[in-house]
Amino acid sequence: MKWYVIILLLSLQGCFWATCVKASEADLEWKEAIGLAKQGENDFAFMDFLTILDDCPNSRYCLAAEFAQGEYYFLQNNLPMASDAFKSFYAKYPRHEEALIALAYLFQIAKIQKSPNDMKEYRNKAASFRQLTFIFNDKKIFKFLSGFQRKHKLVYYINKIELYVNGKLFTEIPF
Amino acid sequence: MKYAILILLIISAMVAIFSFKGNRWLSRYALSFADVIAQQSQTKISFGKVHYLFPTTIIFKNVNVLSADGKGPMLQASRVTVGSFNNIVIGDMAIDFPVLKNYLTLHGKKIYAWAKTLPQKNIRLLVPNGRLYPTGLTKGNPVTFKIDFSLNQNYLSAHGFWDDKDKFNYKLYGNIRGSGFDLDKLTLENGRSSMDLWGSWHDNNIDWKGFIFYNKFYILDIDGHLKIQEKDIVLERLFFSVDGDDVGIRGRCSKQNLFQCDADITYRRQAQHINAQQPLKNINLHLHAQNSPQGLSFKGWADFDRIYAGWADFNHMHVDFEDLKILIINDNFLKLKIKQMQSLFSIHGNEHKVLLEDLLASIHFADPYQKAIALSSDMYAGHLYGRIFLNTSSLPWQIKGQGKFEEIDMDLLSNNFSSFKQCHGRLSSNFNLQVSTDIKLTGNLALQNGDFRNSDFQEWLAKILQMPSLDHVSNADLSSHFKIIGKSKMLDDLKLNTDDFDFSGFFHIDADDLVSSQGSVRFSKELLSESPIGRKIIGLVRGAWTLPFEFRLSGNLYRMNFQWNKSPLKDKVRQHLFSFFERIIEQRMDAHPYYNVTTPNESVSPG
Repeated sequence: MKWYVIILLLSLQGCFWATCVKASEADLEWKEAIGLAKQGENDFAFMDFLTILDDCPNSRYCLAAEFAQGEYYFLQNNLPMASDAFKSFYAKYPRHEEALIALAYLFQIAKIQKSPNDMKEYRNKAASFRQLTFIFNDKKIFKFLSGFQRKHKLVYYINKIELYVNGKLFTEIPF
Repeated sequence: MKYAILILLIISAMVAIFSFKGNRWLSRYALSFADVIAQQSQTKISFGKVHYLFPTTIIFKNVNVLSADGKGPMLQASRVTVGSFNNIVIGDMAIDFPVLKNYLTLHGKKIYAWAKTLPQKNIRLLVPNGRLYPTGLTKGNPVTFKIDFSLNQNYLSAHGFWDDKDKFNYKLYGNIRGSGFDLDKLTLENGRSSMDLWGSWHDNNIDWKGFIFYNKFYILDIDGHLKIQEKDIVLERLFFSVDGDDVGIRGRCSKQNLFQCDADITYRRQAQHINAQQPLKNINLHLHAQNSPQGLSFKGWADFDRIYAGWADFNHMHVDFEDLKILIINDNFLKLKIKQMQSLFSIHGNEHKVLLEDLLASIHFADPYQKAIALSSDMYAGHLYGRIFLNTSSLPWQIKGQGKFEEIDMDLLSNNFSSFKQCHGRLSSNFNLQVSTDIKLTGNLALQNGDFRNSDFQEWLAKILQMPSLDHVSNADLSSHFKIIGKSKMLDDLKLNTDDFDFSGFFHIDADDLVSSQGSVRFSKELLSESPIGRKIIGLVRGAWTLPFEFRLSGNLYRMNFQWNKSPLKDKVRQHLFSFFERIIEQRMDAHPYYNVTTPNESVSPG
C-alpha cells in the first residue's frame, strides 16, 4: 500500500515540476520578448510572443502575447492582419478590459479603412461593453502596458471612450 | 330615243306612285310591326314619321323606346334607317342608363331567349354618334360612343370608341360556333394604355388570355378560366404578372346572387424586385362577400410578408376584418365601414395585436395618383381620428397623415403591447406621419392618472437609486413630445409628475439602441429616505429633497450608463465628503470596479 502512495506522490511531484519548468520558460520568453521590444527589435519580439502562445498556451502571459500580435501587425501597417488578430483577441477575452482596447483598435482600423459599417459595429460593441455608474467622478480609467511596451490608457466617459497610447489620443469612440 | 325617254318617264312615274303608295300603307304596317317587336321585347316603341325610299330603305324619325313598365324613354334616336332589312343606322342615339339597366335586369333573360329564335341573317348596325347618360337622360354629361357592328355568316366584328373623359377605341373580332363563340381579338386602346384579349366561350367554359399595358404597368401572361355551373360561377384561375410579379386569383360566386362570392388573391413579388425600400414579398388575401338587405359586406383576412424588416420593423402582418361595407358615393369618392379589424404583427420578436372597431374610412381619389383618406375608429375604449394622403405616382408610395388618439385605455393596450404591461391610465395623443422610404412620426402624448408597476426601467431605476418604492408609481401625469424617424425614437419635453417625485428631461434612442438622455428629478422626503445614499444626503444637506437631482443616461439601452450631473445638490454633498469616501461610494455603486487593473509586473511580467 505504501508503495502506491510513494508512486502517486512521485507522479504528482513530476506534474508540478513540469508545470514549474513551463512557467519559468514562459517567464524567460516574456523577459526576452519585452527586452527586444524595448530595443526596437519588434520582429524578434513578435517571434517570442508567438513562442509563448505556442509553447505555453496556459501561461499568464498569453493574453498580453496575443494582444501583441494585433499590435505588431498594426505597427507594421498591415491593417487586415491587425484587424483579424484583434477580432480573435476580442472573441477570446470578451470580459477583459483589454478586449475594449482591441475594440478601440478595430474601430480605428475601420476609420482608416473608411468603413462606416464596421465603425458602427465596433462603436455599438464598445457602448455595450460595460454598464457604468458615475456618481462623483465623470470618468473612469484603465491602464495597460502592452507587450511592445506602449502605455495604453482607456478613459471611460458616460457617452464616449477615449484611448491614449503613450500619452497621445489614439482614438475616440463617441456613442 | 323618244321611246327610251318615254319608258324612263313611265318607270319614274311607277316608282313615284309605288313610293307614294308605299309610304301610305307603310305607316300602318310599321306600327303593327313595331307592336310585335315591342310585345316580344317587353318595350313600347313609338316614332314620328316613316319614310320609304325605293327600293328597300325605310327611315323612322324621332324613335322612342320605353320599357313596358317604364316611366321615361330608355332609348331615343332622331333617325333610324333600315336598308334591305339588315343594314341599320341609328342616328343621334341617346340611352338612359338607369332605365336600361333596370329593363335588362327585369327582362334580360326573356329578351335573350327571344333573340335566339330570330332567323340567322347577316346584319350590320351602325351607331355613329351615340350618347349614354349614366344618371338619366339629359342629366349630367353623357358618355359618347360609336358602334359599327356586323355579323357576316358566323363572323362577327365590331369597332368604334367609348369616350368617358378618356376616349377608348375598341375592336372585336370573332366567330360564332354552335352555341359558343371564339374571340379572335378584343382590343382596347387610348394612346396611353392598351389591352389585347383572345379566348373562347363554349358551353359553360370561358377561357381567355392576353396582355395589358396600363400607364406604366405591364400586365402580361393573362390566363383565365371561368366555369359556369348549375348554381354558381367559378373562377378556376386567373393568372397574370404585373411588371414581372405574379398575381393569382381564384373564386366563386352564386348565380342567384352574384355578390355572394369568395375569392383568394395571391401576389408574389420576384426576388430581384425586393429591396430595403420595397421590402414587401407576398400578399395573400381572402375575401368573402355577402349581399344582405343591409347591403354588400365583406369579411376575410390579408397576410403581408416582408423580406426586410425595414422601418416598420416587422416581417409578417396578418389582418382580419369583419363586416366591411363599401359605399360608392360617386366616381371619386367611396366610404368603407368595417365593424372590426384586427392586425397581428411582431416587432423585435414580440407579438402585437391592434384592434380597431367601427372603423369608418372616407376615400377621395379625384386624381388617379392621389388619394385622401379620412379615418375614424374606436380603439382600446378610446377613439382614433386620422387623415391620410397617399401619393401613388411613383414607388415607393408617399404617405402623409395626421391624427389623434383620445382616451386610450392603457389596461387594454397593455394586453397587446408588452412594453405597456402593468401600465394603467388614459392615453391621448396627436401625431403627424410621413412615410416614403422611411417613417417619420411626430406628435405629443399625454397620460392622465397613470399607474406604472414593475416596468424594466422602473426596476432598473429602483435598483440603482436603491428606492424600492419606485417599482410602483401611481397617480402619474405624463406628457411628452415624441419623434420617430426610421428606427430612432425621441421623447422630448418629457414631464412626469407623481405624488412622490417630479421628473423632466428627454430620452433619445437611436437606430442601434444607443441612448442619450438627461433628466432632472425631485424626490419627496419619504422616497429619498428609502435610499441609504438618500438618507446620507438628507443628513448632509438641509432640505435636500427640495433640490433637483440632475442625471444623465447613455450607452446601450439594455446596459445604460448613469451619471450624476453637476448640480447644486451634488456640490453641497461634495462639500461634506472626503474624496476617499467619494471613491468608496463610487466603487460600491459600480458593479464592476476596475481601477488600475494591470497586466503582470514588468520585472517578471508586463505592466
